[in-house]
Amino acid sequence: MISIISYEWRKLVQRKGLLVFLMILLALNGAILFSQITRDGMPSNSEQGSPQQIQKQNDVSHEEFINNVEKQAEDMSESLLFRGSRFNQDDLKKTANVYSNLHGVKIEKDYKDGLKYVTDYRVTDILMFLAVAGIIFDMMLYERTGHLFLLIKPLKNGRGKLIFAKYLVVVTSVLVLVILLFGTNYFMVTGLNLTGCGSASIQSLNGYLASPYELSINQYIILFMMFKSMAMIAAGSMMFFVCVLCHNEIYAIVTIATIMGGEISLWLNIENYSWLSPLKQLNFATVIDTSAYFNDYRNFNLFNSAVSSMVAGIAFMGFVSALLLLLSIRLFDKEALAEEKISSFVRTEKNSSDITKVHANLFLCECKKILFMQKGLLLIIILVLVQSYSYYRAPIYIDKIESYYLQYSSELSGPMTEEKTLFLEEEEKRFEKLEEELNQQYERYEKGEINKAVLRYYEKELTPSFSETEGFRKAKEQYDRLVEKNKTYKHIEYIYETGWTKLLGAEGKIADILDFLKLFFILLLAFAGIGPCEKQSAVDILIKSSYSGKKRVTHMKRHICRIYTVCAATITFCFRFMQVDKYYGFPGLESNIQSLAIFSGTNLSLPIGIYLLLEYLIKIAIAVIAGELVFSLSEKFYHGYTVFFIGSLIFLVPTIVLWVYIA
Amino acid sequence: MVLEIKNLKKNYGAKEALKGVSLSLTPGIYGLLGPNGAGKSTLIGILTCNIKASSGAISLDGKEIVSMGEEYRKLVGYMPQQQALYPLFTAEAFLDYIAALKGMAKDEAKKKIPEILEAVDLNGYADKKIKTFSGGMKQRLLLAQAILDEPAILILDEPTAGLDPKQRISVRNLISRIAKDKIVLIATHVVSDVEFIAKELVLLNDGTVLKMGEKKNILESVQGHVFEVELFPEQYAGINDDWRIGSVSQIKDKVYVRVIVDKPNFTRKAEEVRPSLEDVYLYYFGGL
Repeated sequence: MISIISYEWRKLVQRKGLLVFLMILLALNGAILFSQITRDGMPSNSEQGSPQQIQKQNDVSHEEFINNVEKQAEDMSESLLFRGSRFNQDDLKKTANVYSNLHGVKIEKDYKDGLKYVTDYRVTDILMFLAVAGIIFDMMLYERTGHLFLLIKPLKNGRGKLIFAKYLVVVTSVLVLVILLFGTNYFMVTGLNLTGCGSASIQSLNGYLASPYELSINQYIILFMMFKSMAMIAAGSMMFFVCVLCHNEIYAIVTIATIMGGEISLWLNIENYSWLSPLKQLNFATVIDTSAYFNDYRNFNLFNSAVSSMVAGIAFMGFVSALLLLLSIRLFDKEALAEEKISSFVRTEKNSSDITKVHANLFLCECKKILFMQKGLLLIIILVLVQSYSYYRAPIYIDKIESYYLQYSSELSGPMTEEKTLFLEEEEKRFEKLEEELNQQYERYEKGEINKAVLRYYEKELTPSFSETEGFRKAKEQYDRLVEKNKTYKHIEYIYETGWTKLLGAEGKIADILDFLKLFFILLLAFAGIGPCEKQSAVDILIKSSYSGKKRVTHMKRHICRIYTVCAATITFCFRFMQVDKYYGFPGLESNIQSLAIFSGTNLSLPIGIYLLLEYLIKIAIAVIAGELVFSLSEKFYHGYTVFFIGSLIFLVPTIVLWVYIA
Repeated sequence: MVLEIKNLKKNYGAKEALKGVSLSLTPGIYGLLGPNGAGKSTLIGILTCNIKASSGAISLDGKEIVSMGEEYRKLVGYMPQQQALYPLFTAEAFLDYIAALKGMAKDEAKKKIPEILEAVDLNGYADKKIKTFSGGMKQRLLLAQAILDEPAILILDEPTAGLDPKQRISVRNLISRIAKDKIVLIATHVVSDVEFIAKELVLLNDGTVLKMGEKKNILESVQGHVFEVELFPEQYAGINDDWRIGSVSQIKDKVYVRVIVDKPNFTRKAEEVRPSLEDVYLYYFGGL
């Protein structure tokens, strides 16, 4: 067994491409973190606005906090609202008990905030996930695509022991990666003097006042690394199982992305007290968010009992890792049986054979290869489903202020005119008149001419609603700004601009980055295998020696990839456009772009419609360039997953980092 | 039609795979014989434009094939040694793709595909996925794609690998039938593939052409070097190291050893026998 494990290690370290990939991830982690720290401005004391900050330590002492918690727990457990629920009673009792042990814990005030770059830095989590995925893919799919399993599986130790050995190598790799990646972060923050004394209590950290543990910060770091390792091993076990299950890298990546996407969605959207909270707690995304186990005490609702999320997390990680390992071994061992069952099912279900329509057309043949062999069509369908789900499950709500703004905008839309200016003045006067009348009633009340009830009546009648005044103010400010602009630019018009702001403003840019992330992911999956497929099947030899030749076939494929990319990009970006159009519309396409507040800081002067068209063309052009690059990479490498991971470094990681920075 | 190979050389780093190979091929079947590492695949790779030669030239009817480009490739049908197939394609779909690569017209492809599948005895499997094929069926499909558009130059690398004797004969006969007015080059270890159908043999070893000529001339070159020696079983262990042994058979209490020697010098009873192509192979490329 030891020699099998050592050979698995040897195979891993011989894969120079993988080692280079891991080095790049390590370097990226360090570079991005350093850049983040300098961007944040080298915090020396506790900073406001850190992600998990719940209260300023200077304002509330720890002892006061504990006393508050105990008192609140007592009060709430006696109230009618919480008395009826077993979960609430249990939760309150356990919470009070846990915090009662923390009397006398001394916290260090103004503790430096740098440790958040170790414990709460999401970029490192993402890079760690990519690194583990890279190792597992290389380990499992390399041998599968090279048909080496055909040789290995008939051997005595070629099944369960082999898979167990591979799993142990994955576990060890995870431990090493956690130390390297998070260790880098730790050494960077300590090197830059961003942390304080390690013997201070964990409650000294910003956002950790509610931590229920009596730990020093040094102890916390060690436990954090252990928990992070366990979480990544659990996630790695899931990826390991998927790679045993899926013999194709595209299916494997899509499956992993679907699982993690679903888990993240449950993690973000379910509340702890909900009856669905087990789905949130027993969840890969939750366990990867390691610091959440230490910075607060949470129970979740498990069949109406309050169960500690920490205990649940540990149990989940252990159980899932063991279960998925056993399933992987079993599945790998029984692959032949599983394939026979599937094929016998397919045989009974399939009545007609595959009939080919002969057309001897290279374009159609290459299209077929990309859409069906490379699962390009399936990926487009997935993209449509993901975009539909993303945009239509998140409806936009129009509040009252917006409604009033819309009403005023309908009156004011179009070029600036005297009538509109007069209308605004009249509205302003109307509000002023109402205010005057109301003041008169206040005076009458003070003089005793009217009583309180009458005053309340007049208040109700004469006070315009906050929404109306805010809506009016927004519209007037916009109108006044446009009157000034009109002196410099032509075709300035008043436009109801909420839709444009949503689409082209900051919110729109963040949505665009997420859309690009999804698009790049799909392009990577669709194109990564194009070149490797020819090399692995050896059809490359036939293509090179054919009349069409390698050049023409490559040119044809490149052309098809461009068409595919344009279609994928159109699908990706049209959903947000349709969603915003549905709720707000896009008036004033022919107006000057300076009519919109979001462009007031620029010197651009062209119709909004032209700008919109240009922006979409640029997005499609970026997508086409990305597609070309992925296609070119796929022509160079033998394995599709190699292209996928290199492409991830070039496209996905920077997009994620950009999204984290901006969002 | 003349395919002229002049002083062809190919280096892989320090290793010289081809050391100045010169051949002149006219319509007919040529057997390219040689051991592993002789340079057969390299020569075929250059002829099929998969590999570029380090130096030398190949010309067809006086025109260099490199400058001819697709005009030359249109004339070539190639069956590689590796099983270069898409497992998820059906046989018909795969041939349709090859037809597209070969630039065949739609009508021509529609007509030829069923004919070719029948010729290689795969007509009942046209709509079946290649991954369900046996090794022999895959070989036949590979041959089918090579001859789909009746190319003027047919290059077959180990065409009968994985085939049973009946299928081998069938493939041999098929090649023989279609070889009229074509240059057919068959690279093989299996001497019987070319023994009965090749008009000329090319013996390649260590990147050099040892011999090229008609089968009878090549056989004559080995005349006087092939003997059958009669031994007692206890004498077998002490036979000369410089004897290349073709076959050993025991009949009753005697062992009959077919040997190939450079200079006959026997102390035991030895009878000269008619050489076969296997003997030629052993004579030029060494024996057990």
